[in-house]
Amino acid sequence: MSEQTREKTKEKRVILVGNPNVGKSVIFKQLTGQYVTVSNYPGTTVEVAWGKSRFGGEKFQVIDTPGINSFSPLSEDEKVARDLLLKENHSVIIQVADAKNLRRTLWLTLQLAELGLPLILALNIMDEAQAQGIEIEVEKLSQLIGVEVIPTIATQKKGISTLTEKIPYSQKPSSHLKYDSRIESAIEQTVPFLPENHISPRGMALLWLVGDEKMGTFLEEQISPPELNKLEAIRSQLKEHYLEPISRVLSQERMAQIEKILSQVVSKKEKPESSNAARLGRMAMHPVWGVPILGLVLYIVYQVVGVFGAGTVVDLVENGLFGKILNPFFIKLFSYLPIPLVVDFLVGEYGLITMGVTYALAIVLPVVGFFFIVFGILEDTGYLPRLAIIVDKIFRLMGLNGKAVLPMVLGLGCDTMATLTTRILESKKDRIIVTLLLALAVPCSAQLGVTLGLLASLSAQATLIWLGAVLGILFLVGFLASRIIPGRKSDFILEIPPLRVPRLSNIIIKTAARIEWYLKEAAPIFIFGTVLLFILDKVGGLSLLEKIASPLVVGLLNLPQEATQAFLVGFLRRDYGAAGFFVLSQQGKLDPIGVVVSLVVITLFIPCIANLFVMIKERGVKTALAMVAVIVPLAFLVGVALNFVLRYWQVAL
Amino acid sequence: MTASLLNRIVKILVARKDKPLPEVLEYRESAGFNNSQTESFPEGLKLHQNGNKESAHKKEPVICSVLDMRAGEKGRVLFITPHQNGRLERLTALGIVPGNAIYLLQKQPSLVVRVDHTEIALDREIAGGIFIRNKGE
Repeated sequence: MSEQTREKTKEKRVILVGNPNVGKSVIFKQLTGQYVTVSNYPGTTVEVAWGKSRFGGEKFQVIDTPGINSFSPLSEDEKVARDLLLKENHSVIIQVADAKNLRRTLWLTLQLAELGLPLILALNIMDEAQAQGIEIEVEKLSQLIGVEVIPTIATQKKGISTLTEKIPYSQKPSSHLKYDSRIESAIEQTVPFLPENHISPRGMALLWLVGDEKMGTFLEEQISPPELNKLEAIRSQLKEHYLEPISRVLSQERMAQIEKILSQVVSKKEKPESSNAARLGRMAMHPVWGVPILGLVLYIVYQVVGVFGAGTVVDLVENGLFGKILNPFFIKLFSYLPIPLVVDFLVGEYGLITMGVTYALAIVLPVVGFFFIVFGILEDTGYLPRLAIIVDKIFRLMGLNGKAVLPMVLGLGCDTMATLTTRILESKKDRIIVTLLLALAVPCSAQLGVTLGLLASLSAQATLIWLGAVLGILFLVGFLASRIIPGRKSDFILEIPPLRVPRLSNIIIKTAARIEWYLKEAAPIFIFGTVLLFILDKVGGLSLLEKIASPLVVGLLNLPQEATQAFLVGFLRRDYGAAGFFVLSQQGKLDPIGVVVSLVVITLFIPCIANLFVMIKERGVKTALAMVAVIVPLAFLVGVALNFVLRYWQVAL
Repeated sequence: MTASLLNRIVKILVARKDKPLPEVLEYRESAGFNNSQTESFPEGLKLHQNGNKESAHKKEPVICSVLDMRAGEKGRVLFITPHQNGRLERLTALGIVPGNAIYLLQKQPSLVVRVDHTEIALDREIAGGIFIRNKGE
C-alpha cells in the first residue's frame, strides 16, 4: 500500500518472448544495458531476467524470458515464460523472431495476438535470412497480421533504435484470425462470463475452450460455480462438433492462415546454401567425421585449459607471483604484528592469504578463466547441440537422450548452473537422473582444470585411468538410475542452431561476467573454508578428525593424513579439495597412485555447497539428501576399490 | 476410398505399436491429396511401412514415414500420427506440419531433419510417425 508498491504497479512493462535461440537476450542487453548470458544454442536462458530502461521518457521494466515454441508449455523453462505472460500485467509484448523461420514465428505471433496486448514483432537475424536469399515484405506482413513489424540485426545493433522508438506507442493487434463459425459463436457465448483481466476476453475464451489448465484454475478462482458450469457446457457442446480436440482444430486453422500469409510476403531466391559454415556444421554431426571433430575439440580444450592454463599459467602465478613475490611480502609484512595468532591466521599454514587467497586466485582462477574463454567460444559456435547428436546413442544407454548432453556439458562449466539448466528437460525422471549425475561425476571447470593440471604432470596413463573410472561410474550409475527411478523419458526433439563465428565482444563480456560470478560465489567459500580449517587446527579438531578418518584415508586409500583436510574442504567446494591435493602432490606427499585415487574420490564427491542448495531448491530436500547419501559413500568406495586394484597389480604411472 | 486407406494406416499402426487409436492429423489443402470424402486417392499412391525400403524409393509417388527416407531425400509432410499428448503441438510449433517440405539430413548417429530453415534432431519413434509423400532427391 505504500507509495513504492503503487509506483511499481504503475511502471510499464516490456516482455521479450519468442522461439528459443532467436536473440532475446541480445535485445535485452541492448534495451537495458544489462548483460545476461548469450550463447548459440536453445535453452541458454532458463530463468527470467528483469531490467530497467527508459523509452520515450517513460520508465519501463524489461523482462527477458526463456524461449517458447508455442502456448502449451512442455518443459519447465517454457512454462516459466508462458505463466509470466498470463500472470503479469504487461504493457508491451515484443516477440523476437528468427527471420529465417517465419512459419514458426507466425505460429507464435497468432497466439500472442489473441491475448490482445500491445505487440511488436522484432524480426531478428535479418542478415542470415538475406544471406539465404529469403526476402520478406515487412510492411505487407505487418498489415496482414495487424502488428508492428521491425526488422533487426541485434548483434549489429541494427533496428534497435527503431524498436525503442516504437515501444511507447505500441498498439494492440488491429486484427485477429477468424475461426470456424461454431468456434466464433462459442467464443461469443463464453465472453460475458469472463472476469476483468489484462488479457482480452477473446484470448481468455480461446484458452478456456482449448482446455488450458492455467486458465481453468484462474476462472475457478474468479467466477461462481454456476457460471463455471455454464462455461463447461459451452465447451463440451463445442467439443461434440469435432472429431479432433478443439486445440487441433484451432491449430489447423492457424496453420492455414499462416500459409496464406507466407505465400504473400515471402519470396525466396534459391541459393546454393552450402556455405562453409553449413558444411562444417553438417560434418560436426556426421557419423564418421563427427568423431574426429569431437576428438579435436576435446584435445584443444585439454591443451588450452589443462596444459596451458593449469600448467604454465598456474605455475607462473602460483610459484612465481604468489610463491616468490606476494606471499613472502605478506609474510614479512605481517611478521611485525604483535599477536602470533593473528599472524598465523593471515599467513600461517592455514592462513587467509597463504592458503585461502592463494588457492582461489593463484590455482583456481587461471584455470577457470581459461576454461570460461574456451567454453564461451564453444557455446557461441553452436557446436554443443551437435555434440548432443554424436553422443545421443551413448546417452540412451543411461536412459537419457542427447538433449541431456546440454546440462551435462554445462556442468563442466559449473554444476550449480547446470542443475538449473535441467529445466529444459521435459520429464521429471530425466531431471532427477541428470541432477544426480552432475553432482556425482561431472567435474566443474575449476576442479577439472586443477585435476587435469595435476594429472598432466604425471602421465597420459594416469589421465586415462582417472577418466575411465569417472566415466565408468557415470554410465553405471546412469544405467542403474534409469532402471530404478520411475517415470517416462522425454522425447528427443532438439533444434540444431546454425554454426556461427563467435563474436569476440560477446566472448569477452561473457568470460568477464563469469569470472566476476566466480569471484563473488567461490572466493568467499575458499575464505570460509580456510577460516574453518584454521579454527579446527587451533582447537585440535583437525588432528582429531584426521585420526577418526585415518582408517579410511590412510588405511584403505593409502593417502597421507593431511588428505583428510582436502576432503573436508571438498565438502565446501570440490575444486578446493582438488587444490588441496595439488599442493600435497607438490610437497611430495602423494605418490602417483595416491594422486589418481584421491582425484577420483574428489571428482565423485558432492560438487559444492552452492550446488547442494540448488539441488535442494530444484529437486526438493528429500531427493537431494538421498542423492548425497548415495554419492558420498560411493565416492569413497570407488576410491578404495581403485586403490586396491592399482596397488595389487602395481600399475606404473 | 480415402477413409478405408486411413483405416488401413491406423490398423497397421495399432498392430505395430500396440497403442490406442492414434489421432490422425491430415493434410487438407494440398492439391492432389484432398480429405473430402468424395475424392478418391490419386492413382498409384501406395502405402509403405518401415523396412520396405526398395519400393519406397521407386519413382512413383508413395507414402512413407520419415524413417523410410534415405539421408539427403526430400518429401512433403502428409500427416502425423503422434503417439503422445503434446507431441503434435510440439512438432507444429517447429514447423513440421502437413504441407511443409521436410529434408532428411542424416539418420546416424541421430536422425536430423531440416524444415524451412531449422535443423531438428528427432527420436526415431517420432520420425516414424511423420508420414510424407516421397519426392526423392
